Amino acid sequence: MNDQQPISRRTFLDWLLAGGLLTWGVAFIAPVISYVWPSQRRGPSTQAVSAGKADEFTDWQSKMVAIAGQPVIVIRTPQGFRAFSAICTHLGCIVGWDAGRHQIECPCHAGVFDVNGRVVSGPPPRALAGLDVAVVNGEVLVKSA
Amino acid sequence: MERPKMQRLPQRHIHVIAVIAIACWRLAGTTAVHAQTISCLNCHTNEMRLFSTSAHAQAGLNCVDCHGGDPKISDETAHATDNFRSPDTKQGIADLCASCHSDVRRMNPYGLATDQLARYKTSKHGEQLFAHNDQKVAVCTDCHGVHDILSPKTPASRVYPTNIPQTCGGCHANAQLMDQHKLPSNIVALYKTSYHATMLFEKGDLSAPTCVTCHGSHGASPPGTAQVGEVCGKCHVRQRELFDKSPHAELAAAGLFNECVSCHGNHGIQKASVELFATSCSQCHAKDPKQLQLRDQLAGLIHRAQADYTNAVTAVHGATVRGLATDDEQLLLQEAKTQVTQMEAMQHLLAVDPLQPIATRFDGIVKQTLGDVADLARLERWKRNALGPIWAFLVLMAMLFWAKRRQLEHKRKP
Repeated sequence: MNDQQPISRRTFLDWLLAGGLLTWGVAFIAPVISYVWPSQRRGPSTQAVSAGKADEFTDWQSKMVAIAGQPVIVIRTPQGFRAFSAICTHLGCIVGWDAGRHQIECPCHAGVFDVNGRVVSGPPPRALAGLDVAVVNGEVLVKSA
Repeated sequence: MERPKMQRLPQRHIHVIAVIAIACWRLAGTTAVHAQTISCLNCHTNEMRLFSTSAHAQAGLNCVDCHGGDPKISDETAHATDNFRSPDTKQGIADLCASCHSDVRRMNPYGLATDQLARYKTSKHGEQLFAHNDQKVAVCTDCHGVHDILSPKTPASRVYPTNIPQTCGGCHANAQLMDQHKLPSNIVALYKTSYHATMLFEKGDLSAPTCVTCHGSHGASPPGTAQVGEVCGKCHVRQRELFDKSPHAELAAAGLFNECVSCHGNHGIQKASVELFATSCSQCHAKDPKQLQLRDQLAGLIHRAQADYTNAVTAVHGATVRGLATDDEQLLLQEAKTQVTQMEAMQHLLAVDPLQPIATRFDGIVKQTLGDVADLARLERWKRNALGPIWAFLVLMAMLFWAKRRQLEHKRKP
């Protein structure tokens, strides 16, 4: 026996309205999350960026991190951490760290910088831009200029 | 115990006398210096004016330190001393300057080198002067000035980087003088059209090469065929290193190939570009299809990479302008730029194979960059397209509210 009542036009309208309100709520919140969330995750930042735990670095070891879309080289020396823009001041190639020679080298035109970012040899016209670096609660934090 | 008042008075007098004595002694010293200056000034006003701002004046030197003479006499007889010096030959000028500048003890406090004369004697200028008594060649004063010599670090100095081409051009752009020495007189004009000059004058890069960077200063001489690579390699280290592994290196060692100059030229050197392949290789290999094929392969590989990089930069820039977050893609562009710049340098090996792994890595980076930008664009498009259904939904909701309101109003009616 079928005891189901036929759905009235009024009930149908109420369901439709309730569903619509729910959808409206979701649709209202989703774009907010969608637009806000990526900008927090990927947007340009002037805040400090973590280069990892300090004890992950041994002396004269380096690590490359990205800050606001720019490569940054972080080096641990016996005197502390140093961080420089990893973009060569000659033609903009990404420089690398030579742990054996304790110097920063550009693979494109053999520009060489010392552990303070100063030009040692080759064509770079000026030193690498230095960035502030600090160890906070065992974490190496690099701040963009 | 307090000392009696009478005992303290003489002590105060001693202090006053000491101050007066020191003041008198200093005044006497100043008067002596002035006596020298005033004596020479009687006739040499212009020289004194020039000298007053010179590096030598700043170092506390005076006329007699170079010229000797008796500064106490105020007429021409001041010159009539055994130590009076006013060289009338260029050898004499070099020797006079060297009397201090070759003296290690005298130059040590100023941190100046003392080998200038020794180097000068090895230069073409020095050879001409000392071996052939050529009085038209440049000596110390021709480049540094006479009484108004300034420190090379002073922008007004004749030997400050931006002034060097003009200083050398004083002789080397003088057609009449250069003709006598069978030398070209257009080299300074050519240099001014070069990329090195653009870096120096337009970009203000004081480390950019000037005449003395390649030819030397005191020991100036043209680099021979065997030295060109060494000279250019002082700055272009990587290119030099790669060239040494190229097939051209053997020819250069045998003196058959003028290294860098053969392709890039010398004084009028331009910024290297792929277009250089078209003009330089055919100078020697015009009838060598195998070498021309290699040239086309190398040029093609680099040219394609440069074009791909430009496309990637345009795509990322476009995405950034549209407000999309492109931090990761900017980083990829830096990596791509590193690869393409490495390829440009590595063409000095004159072989395609070493470039292939870099080209493959570059292709991967560009592909990823363009893929990321396409994803960002797709997401942006999807968001834009979603606006239609959202608006339709809002209209539907408005209609539903309107219908509900009518229903409620209908219900309230008796």
